[in-house]
Amino acid sequence: MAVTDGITIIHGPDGCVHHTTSLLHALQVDHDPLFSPVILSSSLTETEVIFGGEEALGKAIRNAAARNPGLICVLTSCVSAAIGDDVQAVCSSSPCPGIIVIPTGGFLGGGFSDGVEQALLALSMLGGHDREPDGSVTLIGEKNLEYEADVHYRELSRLLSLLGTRVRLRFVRNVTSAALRQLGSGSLNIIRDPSLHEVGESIRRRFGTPYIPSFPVGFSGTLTFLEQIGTVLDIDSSHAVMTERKNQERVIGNFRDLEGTKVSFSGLSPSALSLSEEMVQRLGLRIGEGGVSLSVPDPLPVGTAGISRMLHRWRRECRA
Amino acid sequence: MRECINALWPCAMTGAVSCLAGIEGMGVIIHGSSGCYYYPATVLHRELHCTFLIEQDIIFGAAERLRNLIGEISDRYGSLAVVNTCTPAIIGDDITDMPGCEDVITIDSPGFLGTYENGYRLACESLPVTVDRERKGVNLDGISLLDPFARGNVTEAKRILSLAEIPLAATFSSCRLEDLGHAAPYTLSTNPDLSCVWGEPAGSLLGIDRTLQTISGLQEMSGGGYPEALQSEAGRAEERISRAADKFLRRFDPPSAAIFGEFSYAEYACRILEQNLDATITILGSRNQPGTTHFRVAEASSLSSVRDLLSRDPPDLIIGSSFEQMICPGAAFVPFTYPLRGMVRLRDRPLIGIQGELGLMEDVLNACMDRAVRSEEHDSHPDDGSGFPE
Repeated sequence: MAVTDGITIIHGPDGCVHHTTSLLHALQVDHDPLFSPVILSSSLTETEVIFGGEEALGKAIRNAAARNPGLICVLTSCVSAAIGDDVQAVCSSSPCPGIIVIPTGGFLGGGFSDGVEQALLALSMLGGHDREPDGSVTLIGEKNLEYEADVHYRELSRLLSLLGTRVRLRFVRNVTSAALRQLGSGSLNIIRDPSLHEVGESIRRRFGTPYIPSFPVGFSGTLTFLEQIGTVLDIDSSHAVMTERKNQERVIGNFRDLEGTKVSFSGLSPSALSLSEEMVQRLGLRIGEGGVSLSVPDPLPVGTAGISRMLHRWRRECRA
Repeated sequence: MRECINALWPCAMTGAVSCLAGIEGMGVIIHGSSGCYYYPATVLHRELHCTFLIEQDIIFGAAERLRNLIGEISDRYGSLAVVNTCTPAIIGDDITDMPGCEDVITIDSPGFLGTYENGYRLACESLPVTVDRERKGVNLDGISLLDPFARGNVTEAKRILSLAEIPLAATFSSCRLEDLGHAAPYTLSTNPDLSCVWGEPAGSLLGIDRTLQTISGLQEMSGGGYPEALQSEAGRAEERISRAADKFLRRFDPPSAAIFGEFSYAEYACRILEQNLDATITILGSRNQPGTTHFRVAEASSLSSVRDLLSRDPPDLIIGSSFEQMICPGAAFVPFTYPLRGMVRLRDRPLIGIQGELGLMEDVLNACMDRAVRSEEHDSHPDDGSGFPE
């Protein structure tokens, strides 16, 4: 749905389309670029549940094709999976070429992350070797429902600029279908988080593009991230690391008043635990019972700017 | 087949959950996947439970998972209701006669059954209601958690009934479970699209005129006195509206307005705008099945249909949701129906009764004046982009 000239058909009832439309709309009004994804419903009702929904899907595909999109993707819902529609056959026999079927099957196709992975793998098949790797970076699997997605993008762009490189393709966020074909032309892929490891591997096997398995987390993790990129792209990262280290010292200085504050954490995941330990150590916090109860955002904050925003929220809690 | 691009209105399952979750003391279980749970849990802001079905449950049967969940939470509630979602409904999981779950209310309201209103009414019919013929007072219906006016409507209805010295019995659907056991024989409507089957219909509270008719009718039936206090408050409110509308029309032309929402609410807003501002109604865009009206009406339950309706006849004023606001950002806008994103709304606002009509007219006049003044300023200083007065 983040392909700007694409149409997504959800082969299911209108209500399923509304769930997604409503979620995306809620995010849309909070972001600057007001891109409205076109999500078409095959409008399954009780009649199609009894007699089959393939005809309804065929009509939805014809309606979509009439709008001349750059790409048509068909997602299956739990209703179409449960009634056993042969979605692949309907799409293959359609006069519209190149329809991408993503067999999500609602919850019958797995959980949320499975659907994201399926979609990225399916869209990666559009990628080609249009040109030789040019030293640029491709972001893979940004979380499009994440409130801070664009803020994370800006932080990554800032970090990459310290190394003199840049993001050329966001796979897949607010891009055209034509841009997707450049997937093989980047020199490095940065995966949103390790859960998409299989996507990174699949693209590496296909195009030989190396990848870093996660956006940077933590002060030290951000510096390591710069070093890793430098190594892969054969760039001397020492100056970038030094600049960012100074930036981190400045951020820590902004929160000097928190030093000595007694805090507590509960129910942290292993990666959140390691971030909280680093913060306690770098800011001079004290862990103890009855301390201010702090939380670590999920997904974890990205880069130095993400930590700074988290620390503002922590300070708010400490002052409450 | 109609084309549905970006559906704007929730499904029957969400409607059923919305009705049941309004009853304090009722535990609501969504028998379905996390995806079906996530949406109503996010928009209704009530504690909901879910069986969180996975593929294995569909192959081997989901009844055991449901029975376990019922066992885990039954002590916390006076009653439990299970709302069936699409897949268990298709595979025919029979959840009505599971041993140990005889008292559980089951509502077969999968999303493919239809719209929010279908599910809401189905759930409302299934509530454990006993109409007490001896009970004095009235019930209220049409209250739904998705409605931005729900809490305000309950408050306004209570205030009006109190002025008329009429007790409020059950509220569908925003009351305690025990209130359902002593429902009154008559029911007032706040939103006819969500009217229930409990009690004799005794009129609507949508609008000052209908509120007075309804309350007078009730007083006649019960042999009570004429509600003088209400009559005089209504008279003052109508005068205030008339003065404000008249002042507006001395300076500005009547707005052309496109109004979107559930049919009855939208039709009410059309009526008020026509009556008070001589407004031209370009379209009544109904989220649900439209009823009969003299206004130009069309179903507007997808973004594509709303876009078509607005581009065919661009209005000065839009009364609707943030979807319509997004499509037509240059028009004056009055928030009216779900969803209302990108704005903060903390206060309870009614749409019904005297305060409801005053509030609607206040919002409409302010929105129209803001837009007209902006437009006048733009016409006087078309090239001045400084933003500072000279």
